[in-house]
Amino acid sequence: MTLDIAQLVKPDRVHRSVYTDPAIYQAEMERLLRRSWLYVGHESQIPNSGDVFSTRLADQPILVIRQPGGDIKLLFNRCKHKGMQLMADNTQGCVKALRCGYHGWIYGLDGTLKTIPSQAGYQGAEIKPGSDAVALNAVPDFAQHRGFLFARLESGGVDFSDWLAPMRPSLDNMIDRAPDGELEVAGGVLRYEHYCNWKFFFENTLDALHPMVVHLSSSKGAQRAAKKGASVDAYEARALSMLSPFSASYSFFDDMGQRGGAFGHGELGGKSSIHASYDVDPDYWDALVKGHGKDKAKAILSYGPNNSVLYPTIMFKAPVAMLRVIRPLGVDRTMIETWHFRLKGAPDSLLEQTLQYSTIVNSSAGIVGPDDHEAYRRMQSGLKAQAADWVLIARHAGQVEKDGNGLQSAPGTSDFVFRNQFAAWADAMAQP
Amino acid sequence: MTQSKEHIRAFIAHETWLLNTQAWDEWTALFSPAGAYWMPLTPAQDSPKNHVSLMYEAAALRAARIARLKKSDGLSVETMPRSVRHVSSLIIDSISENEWHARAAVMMAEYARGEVNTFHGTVQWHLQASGSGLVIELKRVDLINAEGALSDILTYI
Repeated sequence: MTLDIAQLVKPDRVHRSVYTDPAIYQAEMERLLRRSWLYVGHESQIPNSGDVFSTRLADQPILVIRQPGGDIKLLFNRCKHKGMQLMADNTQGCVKALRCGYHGWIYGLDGTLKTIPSQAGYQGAEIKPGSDAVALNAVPDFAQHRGFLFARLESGGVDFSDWLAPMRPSLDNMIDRAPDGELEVAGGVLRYEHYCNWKFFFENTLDALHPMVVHLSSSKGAQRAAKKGASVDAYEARALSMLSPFSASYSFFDDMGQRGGAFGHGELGGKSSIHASYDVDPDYWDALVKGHGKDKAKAILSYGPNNSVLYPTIMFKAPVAMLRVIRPLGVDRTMIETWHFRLKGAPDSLLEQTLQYSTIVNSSAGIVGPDDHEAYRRMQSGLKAQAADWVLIARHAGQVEKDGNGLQSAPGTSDFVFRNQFAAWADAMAQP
Repeated sequence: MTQSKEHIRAFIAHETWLLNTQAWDEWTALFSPAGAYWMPLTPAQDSPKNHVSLMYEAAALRAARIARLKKSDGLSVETMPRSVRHVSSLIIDSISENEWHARAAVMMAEYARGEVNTFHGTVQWHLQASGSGLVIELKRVDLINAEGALSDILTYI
């Protein structure tokens, strides 16, 4: 397919087809997603030898397995016989071997074929136990950072550590918020199906111009309920305090700032965020000081981005210990997974806060997510309008300042982060 | 006043009817002051606090959602969703003289934005005597596909 990328992405606008054209979506899958570092999961999902879970990276079925020696291995979830997935999607278990449920081929945890039932029917050196030709295929690039697992489906391109570098301080900030300096997956995973292109969701995580419009009714409703307040207990009062800042002013979001840098990465907020006014549990503060010392504890809590993104599929929320990952399903279908983390060494109230936030804001039954989703759906159909080809990303054009760690900063409501994402998008898409 | 199973059955039919007719204020008034509506993410979940849920709303959050629904204020509820619940296979157990546990199968169809979405699951009520009537301490709805990739659920089931 010939794509004239230069005609789709301009400095201040992008062509509507980048969100709507199935051929461009297919090219994204091949040129961007399969060649990017993607989120796999967290090592706490598979603590013991033989622990395994199945997931999808871009459109590829993958198994993630803890080996007897403690290493983690990523294998394509596809039997070398007829191609059946060895495990159904989004399942987990603890196994001694991987057995295909169709014709009973058995693989070791490292993907080596161990046995074929009625082996005598095969001649030659290829189809037999131990042969490389019938071993499960390994995902070529795999990397870990403090418990977080990442992979790339095609070798080549930027090293993992260089790719992570611009946002590493933000990811470390989420991890350092644990008094013990480690996170673990906890509290279940939300899966929310969106009927829209993946980029609408991804851009929205850094969009500071929409909360006061899209979420006004939920935020004001919470503020009114908080004022009435007679029967509100501490748990529900916290829920209301989570919703309330969604209708904060333009200047509040401008002042929190945004930053963007290499590979399309970026974040909204930092010195401030919609989470900055949450009460800090005194027991948590004590544990954090015990774990890190007072100065570092202060520094950790004083930096709190709203949302940080590792382009093109990962968004995390350091102050709330959660990560959302995009699993694109088609040009106009996207699954969003929300993962939650326990801060090791912190009181239970921290995980409770994370899960409460997610229930209110990230759930498909909440009063925040469905309003965002409706906006994405209407953009998906609005962009069918043949009379107008361009989606504008012109706000605060040219207004960037040099920031630390190779990043540039701009006012919180700038479109800089989107221009930065599309620059990375265009780079990737220009490579056949 | 001691409630009979017949009273409980009538209360549940009334509660369902209020939801089916979008009588949101009357519906939320059926809950006790601390009463909650809960849709867990997993059947084994015993608390909304140690696991993420699809929804957990006591009085104030219900008031926030209901205000949006009544004024059609919010992109996803610009047209008030119309919905109907079918409750069947009701079983009522007495916990004490003043407390009952009821459980049933539920199917809810929600019409919004030109589409009908259906949700299936079980529903449980923890009911308490209050004055001459009953109040809901907890209404719990477990969807059979709560852990799957669901899309929007705009009202209560």
